[in-house]
Amino acid sequence: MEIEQVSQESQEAVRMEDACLDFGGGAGVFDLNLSLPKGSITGIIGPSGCGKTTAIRLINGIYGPTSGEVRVFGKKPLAYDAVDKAGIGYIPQHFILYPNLSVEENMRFVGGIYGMSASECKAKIQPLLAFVELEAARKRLARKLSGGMQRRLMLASALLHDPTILMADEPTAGIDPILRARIWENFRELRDQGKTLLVTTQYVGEAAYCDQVAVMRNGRLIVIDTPRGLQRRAMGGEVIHLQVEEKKLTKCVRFLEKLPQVYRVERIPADAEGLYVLVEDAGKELPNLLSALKEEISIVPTTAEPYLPSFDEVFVRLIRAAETSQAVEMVP
Amino acid sequence: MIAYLIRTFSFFMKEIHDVRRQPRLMLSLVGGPLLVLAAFGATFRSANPFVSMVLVWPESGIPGFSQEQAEKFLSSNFYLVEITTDEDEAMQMLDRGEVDVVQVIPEVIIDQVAAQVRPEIQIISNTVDPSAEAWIRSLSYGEMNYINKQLLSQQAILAQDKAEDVNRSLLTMQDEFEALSQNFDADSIDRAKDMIAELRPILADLEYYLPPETQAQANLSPELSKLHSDIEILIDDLDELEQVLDQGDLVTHLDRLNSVNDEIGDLQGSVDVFITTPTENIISPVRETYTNLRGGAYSMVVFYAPAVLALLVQQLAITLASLGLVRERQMGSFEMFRVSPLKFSQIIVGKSLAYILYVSIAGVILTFLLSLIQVPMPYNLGQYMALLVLLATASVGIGFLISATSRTDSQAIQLTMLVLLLSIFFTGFFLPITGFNWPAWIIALLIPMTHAITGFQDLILAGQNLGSDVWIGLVIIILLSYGLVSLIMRRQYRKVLD
Repeated sequence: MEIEQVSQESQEAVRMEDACLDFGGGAGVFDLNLSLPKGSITGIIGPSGCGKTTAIRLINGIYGPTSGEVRVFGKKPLAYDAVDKAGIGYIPQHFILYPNLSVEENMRFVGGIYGMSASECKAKIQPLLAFVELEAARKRLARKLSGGMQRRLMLASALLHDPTILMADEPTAGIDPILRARIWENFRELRDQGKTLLVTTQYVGEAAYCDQVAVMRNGRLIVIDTPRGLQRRAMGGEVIHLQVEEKKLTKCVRFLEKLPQVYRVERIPADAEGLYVLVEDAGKELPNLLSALKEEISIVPTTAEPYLPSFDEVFVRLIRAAETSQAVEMVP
Repeated sequence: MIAYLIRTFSFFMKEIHDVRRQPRLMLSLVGGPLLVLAAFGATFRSANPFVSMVLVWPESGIPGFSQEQAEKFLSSNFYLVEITTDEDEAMQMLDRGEVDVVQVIPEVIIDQVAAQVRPEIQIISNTVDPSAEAWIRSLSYGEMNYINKQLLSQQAILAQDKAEDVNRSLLTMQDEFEALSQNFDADSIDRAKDMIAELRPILADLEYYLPPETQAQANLSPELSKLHSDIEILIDDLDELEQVLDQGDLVTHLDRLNSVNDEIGDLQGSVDVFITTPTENIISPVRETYTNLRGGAYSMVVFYAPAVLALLVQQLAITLASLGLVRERQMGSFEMFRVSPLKFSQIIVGKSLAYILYVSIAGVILTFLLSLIQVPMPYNLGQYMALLVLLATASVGIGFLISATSRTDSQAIQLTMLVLLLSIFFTGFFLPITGFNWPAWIIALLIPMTHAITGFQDLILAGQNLGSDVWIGLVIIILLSYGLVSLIMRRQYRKVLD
């Protein structure tokens, strides 16, 4: 049992157990339980003000928890020494580098505050600028960079001292989808190099890039799972999308609802012929459902396919479910 | 240790790049005030208040003081708008705000003065400016003295003329009394009485015109001091002689006659001295001599140059440093620093070194530029550079203190302006600190410029080495400001996001 515990800890970069930071007046984060496996990307998704940034600041040691525990590589963040801090890369929410310094000067400055010599900086700046595709802008002043370039400069600067864990607070906020995709490509490359990444975002669709996703609301963690797992949780299973003639739809619904492998049948709003059929395993159950419909009630759907709900839909369903359960809890 | 130096150096270089990319900031901070100083030097005329005046001059004029003299005298200190004989017109000009002052010169007759009637010069103003009022009153006092001196001079000349007449009469009298005493008989009594009667108005006339006896005149000559008393004694002797002539015998007559003759002789001696004494000595026996061992004072522009240099260096350093920390905090950079292995002392030391370097370079450039307007070069270059660096360091410390206590850029700028105001009023920049009560001295001692003005004036103007008080004053400010910054900012740095 002990060996199992040690083994689990050695696989974890970050562990939060019932971590709370209460700012008063309902603000803060509460009862956070989170584990970040080494070499993975964990995304924290939630509406603005839900506590994403506070959670990151608890992990990087800017804040200390008022209760509960936070450990990064087994150590409490408030007890980080210079070596521990050198293992952390951090990209704050806003551009905090210096507009009057060039791209290279900014990177040298950041390298300097991590104690890197001029030659060390020189050796690392070139490949990192290539990594974030900023080589051509090397001499350009930071104030003359676009928003996306500034984000990439922040990323390159945060990686200069080769941290083992990178925390990025909304690194894709306010930039176009193509650039966002490129930044996520960078993150996945870093993950593949063995680094652990913790990324907050308001773009729900970016959950797909993560290995695990934590959904937060009002300072609390609603759920943490893989992207696929989140989809399942939100919908209550896997989804089969059927299109059936409108006059046969009611008959079809009644039939499907009686089948033991079907969890639930939902009519699709604004689609008079559409149905969502929730099952355990959409791929496996689809042929069975089609043959049962044909053989027993002579209905052949015009469309029948496994359906992956968008993360927007997943997010909305999860938040609504959380609100509903909170409302139920509040009823005396 | 190497990592410590690298981190400190990274801040130093960051500030160097940051400031050099803002040439307009440096130009406005250094060039702006320097241009103001140059404009001051090129256009400065007088430090005296500008006061406009209308002069009401008496139609009969003043003895010994012409209208032209009055115009010349007043024009050097006032803007003389008009000279008129109509007092009502002048008062209307004052009411309409066309002039600041009306001066009414009364009709002065020399006999009035001698008869101890004191005519009055009226100065009427409606100014609200205390310095202008002090200036008007001071000039009026000077003008009154000048007019009085002119009148006394006239009176003294008149008295000397009279004294010459009296002296001639006294000589005649003495000869006649001499002749009378040689051959005194009953008929001589009547002649002696006639002579006494002739002498009395002459003496009264002389006394009337003589300037009043003063201690200063007594110091000038013993004869002058007893001129009035000699007249009194002679008059008494004449009274006694007159009585003796009516009642006494011949021997007594002769005795009194000889005594009167002696007194006339004494009075003649005193009158001679009075006649030969220059008028200037009689009316103004004391004069001053002024010697400036340096050969002369500097022009106003040169005199203020060290203080302006101190002000520029101080404000440049304070402005740079006051924005230095507050901007980092506002940008959110502290969040990144807090996550990094950086120590607060590395931020402060790195930034300080960069600012001190920039400010010291600016100070050297300013010194060179000031030499173009005839400001002497420093007496001791080593001490000068050390003073410049200490001033820059102390001012950067004050700037950091402002930064530490400000939450925004605008707060920091407001506090910087407040320090500028304090520096103008409480450092001896243009008002001597000795003119304030002791609480102001504490403020003065806590402003780097106070010590720097003394130091720069010693090195540039007086050509002498600095006293220890200048060094100690600046070092105390450095220790206090950096100590307080360290206390405040370490706490803020730990609670970076509060």
